[in-house]
Amino acid sequence: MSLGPTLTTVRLILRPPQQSDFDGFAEMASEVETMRFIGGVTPRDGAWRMMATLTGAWALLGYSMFSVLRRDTGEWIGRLGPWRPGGKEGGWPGDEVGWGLKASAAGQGYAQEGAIAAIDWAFDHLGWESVIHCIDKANAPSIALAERLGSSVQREDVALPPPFQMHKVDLYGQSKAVWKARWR
Amino acid sequence: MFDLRDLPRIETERLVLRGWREEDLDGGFAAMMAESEVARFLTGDQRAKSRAEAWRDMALFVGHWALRGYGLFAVEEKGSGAFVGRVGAWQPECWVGFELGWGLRREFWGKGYAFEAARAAGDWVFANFPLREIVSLIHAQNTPSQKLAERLGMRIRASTLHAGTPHHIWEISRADWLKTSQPRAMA
Repeated sequence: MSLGPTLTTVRLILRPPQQSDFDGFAEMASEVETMRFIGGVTPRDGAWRMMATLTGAWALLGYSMFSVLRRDTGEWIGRLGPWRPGGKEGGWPGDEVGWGLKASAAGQGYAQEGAIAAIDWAFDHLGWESVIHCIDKANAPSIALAERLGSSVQREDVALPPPFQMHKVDLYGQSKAVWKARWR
Repeated sequence: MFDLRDLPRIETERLVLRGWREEDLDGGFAAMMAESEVARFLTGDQRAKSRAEAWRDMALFVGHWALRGYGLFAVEEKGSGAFVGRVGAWQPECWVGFELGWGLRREFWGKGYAFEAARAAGDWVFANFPLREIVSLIHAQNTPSQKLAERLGMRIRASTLHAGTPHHIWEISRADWLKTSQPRAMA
């Protein structure tokens, strides 16, 4: 059962979530540091609902976050990719590519490698003219990654739609033209 | 390839149970979740939901179908095509069991629609999954749903706290369901 494409990078496989990913999702959702800026620690029942929501978004929109697996071990290490809950009418501040990896997979360039593949796919297949990343001001590692990808701050202290209306983020982003010039 | 259009379609006398469409959000589902009387017993915090939250619920229902192979159907009224509610199978991780669940927009209460849809969904569940019983998790103050569970032949198995509020776990065995279900033609 496939909801979307499988993308392959040097070290990673990106594909839509499936039930066998769940233990990975649940482990990541239990990590305090990992979840600090992306919704907070969530128990197993909530982790499954998050995974199912990402999965359902694939069916409703034709895009959503991918599960990220290491090609060498097959291990599920995180989820990243296009995210715009509700689509164009959903109140999300733009066409986002977001990322989040398990703690054990952080610091090895996996998020950058996966994000590049996901942004390439979004620009080539979804008709996007720009990409954003919604990042908490205090999330230094994600800000550093956004900047390595060539994105810069566009708007600060932006409110997200419910249930995250209390959570302000800074919008990083860039245009398709800038992306294509940089990562050709 | 998982395709929403491939989800089962069940017709009853007055209703159609079918897969979700993006249009269902503004076609009635968002309005339903914004109704405090409906949300009171359907949402974890008993609070009415915004449109953005209702979309996430819809994505969750669709993802449940993709991950589990069963889920909640969108229910529409045959004559008008109006979105009536959501009824069907529900078993997210850590749930109390394989649930038969229902929830309708306020304006469609009192017509027997929930019974009609729940009966058809239960028939579909027992016909397609090797279950010994199904359950329904119902708020202890949700009298209309308790009456429906009784009408379906369900009995209270246990009391439990769910999302911090008292609920009952209703259940019915396959044998009892098949004893009480009205025989009728179904594709």
